[in-house]
Amino acid sequence: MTKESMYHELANSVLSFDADVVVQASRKGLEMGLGPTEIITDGLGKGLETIGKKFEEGEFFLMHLMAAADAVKTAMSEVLEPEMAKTNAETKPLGRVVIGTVAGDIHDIGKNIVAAMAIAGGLEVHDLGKDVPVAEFLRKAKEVRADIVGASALLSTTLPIQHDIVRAFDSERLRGNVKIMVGGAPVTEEWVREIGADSFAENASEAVKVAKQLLNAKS
Amino acid sequence: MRVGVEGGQLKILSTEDLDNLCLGVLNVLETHGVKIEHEGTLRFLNDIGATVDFRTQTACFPEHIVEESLRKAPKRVRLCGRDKGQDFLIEGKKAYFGSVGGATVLVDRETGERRSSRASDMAETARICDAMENIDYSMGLYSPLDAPREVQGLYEQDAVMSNTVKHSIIFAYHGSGVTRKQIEIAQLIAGGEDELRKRPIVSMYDESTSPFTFGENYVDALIEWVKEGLPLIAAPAPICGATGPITLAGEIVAGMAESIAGNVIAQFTRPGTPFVFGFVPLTMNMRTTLCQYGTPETMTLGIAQAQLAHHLEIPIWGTGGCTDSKTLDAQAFVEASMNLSTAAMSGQNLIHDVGLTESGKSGSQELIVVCDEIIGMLKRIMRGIHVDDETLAVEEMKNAKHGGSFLGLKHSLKFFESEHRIDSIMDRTFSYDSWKKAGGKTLVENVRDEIKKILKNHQVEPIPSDVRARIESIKTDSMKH
Repeated sequence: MTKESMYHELANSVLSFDADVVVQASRKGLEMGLGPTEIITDGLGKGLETIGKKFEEGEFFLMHLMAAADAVKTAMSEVLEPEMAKTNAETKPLGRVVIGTVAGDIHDIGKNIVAAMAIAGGLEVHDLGKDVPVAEFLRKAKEVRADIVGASALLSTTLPIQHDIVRAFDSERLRGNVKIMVGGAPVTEEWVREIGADSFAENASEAVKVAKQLLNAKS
Repeated sequence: MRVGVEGGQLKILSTEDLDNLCLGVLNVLETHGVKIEHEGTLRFLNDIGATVDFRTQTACFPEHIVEESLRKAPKRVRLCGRDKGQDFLIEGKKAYFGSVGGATVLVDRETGERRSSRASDMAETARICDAMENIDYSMGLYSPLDAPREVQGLYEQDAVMSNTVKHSIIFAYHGSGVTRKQIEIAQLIAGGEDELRKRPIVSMYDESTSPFTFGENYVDALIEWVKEGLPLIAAPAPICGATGPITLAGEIVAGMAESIAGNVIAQFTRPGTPFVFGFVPLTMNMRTTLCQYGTPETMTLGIAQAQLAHHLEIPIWGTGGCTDSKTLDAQAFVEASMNLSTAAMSGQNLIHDVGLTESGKSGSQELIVVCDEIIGMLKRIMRGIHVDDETLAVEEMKNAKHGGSFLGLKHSLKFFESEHRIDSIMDRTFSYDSWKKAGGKTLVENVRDEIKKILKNHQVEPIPSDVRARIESIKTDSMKH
């Protein structure tokens, strides 16, 4: 089997939307002597790209994106990341994202979709979960040297916490290095301007695009 | 007393389907249960025989507990207004209608600008609801974003309850002691604890977080409220495909089970708590991730849960008069008409969301007024046709003679107003020319004029000034804590 046909098999495995198939293909790739980074970039990543394209074209739907992202995530954690740790392979992610649903709010479906899409988009994602205090966003962002912080809120009473987060990063003078994105049903462009966040997106695939734009502008 | 319109004409499930859905609900409650982020409640559920795992904070309910909780829940719920004439009784397949809260954006009627909502918008909306013939209870449609975050719930309550003599529904707001303060304000307006219990002029809507998660705030608000014996609407809003299963049957089982789990906590906290069951049927758009209110699936789910509620003889929450449209265009009125029709005709009891636009992000007072008219039309349809010798009118056909007219007959005079609804805001001018002469206005333009008139002329009996003063001090004191 040639490298090219293995890349092809890896990409196709993602289109099965089945974690077992992706895990198996990844193992096979390693056995063939491919490196984990190669498997991700030239194999699985291409599969995700195809799915992303078919989503844009209207052939695939959100659940296809999520299922594919989940399958790749499983292969990463079960097969590829352990291998990278073994070989001390340093992969530089496109960017590091810290994401969470703000304090007082436990509505996290939107945040979860964004996190999955960001992973599928090649970003390193640190998901803090839900009901996350402002200080925790700050702490984690410093710890992982985050490029982007994403804060999600659904309720009119928790929306203002996004403002608190912006202020907290302001007062620690971190805004040069860390871009803040906000999201959630009640978030509007006007709100983003009002609180001085860097950006927002209406939905998950848009969010990943916007995040990548922010990263490009940064570098 | 306000009279509900009798629904239940619309059915899509067989008795066998309904039995199977019930079995699904029992199954999921017994084997999967709900996560309850509230230690005290887990302990008490453990005591009454639920299977509690304190580590994962989950409680599973065996069949006998679920059945007992359903037996303890009243079949009929009486909701009262500050004015006794506005009281109504939820029972059987009777449908009642009202708005909602929670939207954060609106188009300012004066400036045409899109802006954040304020407490004063909620006060206005309550007054509009109060004036509408077919709106049975009042809500504020929006969120009071100009109020301090910690006390938004109190500003909402004050804005709504001070501007209506109809029954009010308020949202459960999160955080330390807000529910307690909401109860205090309600008692002040009702004239005391007992008075409020006897004539509950306000009920609370408390929404758990699907799938199957009862956050600490949800449980706190629920228990605080039902301890007072006040009516509670505990409806989750699972999004079909995202926070609920993709299949409609699965969504019904998940939504009803989550609501029924809330009832278990309520009925074992205070047996006989007036409890409105059900869920807000939402679906996720799998292209844009929009959480949808106006799709045919949401309506189908609504019809099904009404049938299930009748099957179980429990009062049911309903959804209608809302839209995914961003503006008051044809889509808005198509969706609002369809979901109001299916909600009413399936016999959902306490139908909410009238006036909600943009999938819950914004709200429109104009849409409330149009929906009032739609509901009026629906009531006419659902009243049906009275058939007897006199209405068969065979004699009148003879009186009119072959080729004659019925216009001048006494029979026509006698029955016109009871048989035909006189509408008010629909355009029924005779011709294009006469419509043009009358101003050539669209429905929405006419409705805006109507709203101006209502806000100018419709008076609501004010809350006595000493009570007002105390409400104000509760609002101010709460901010200090």
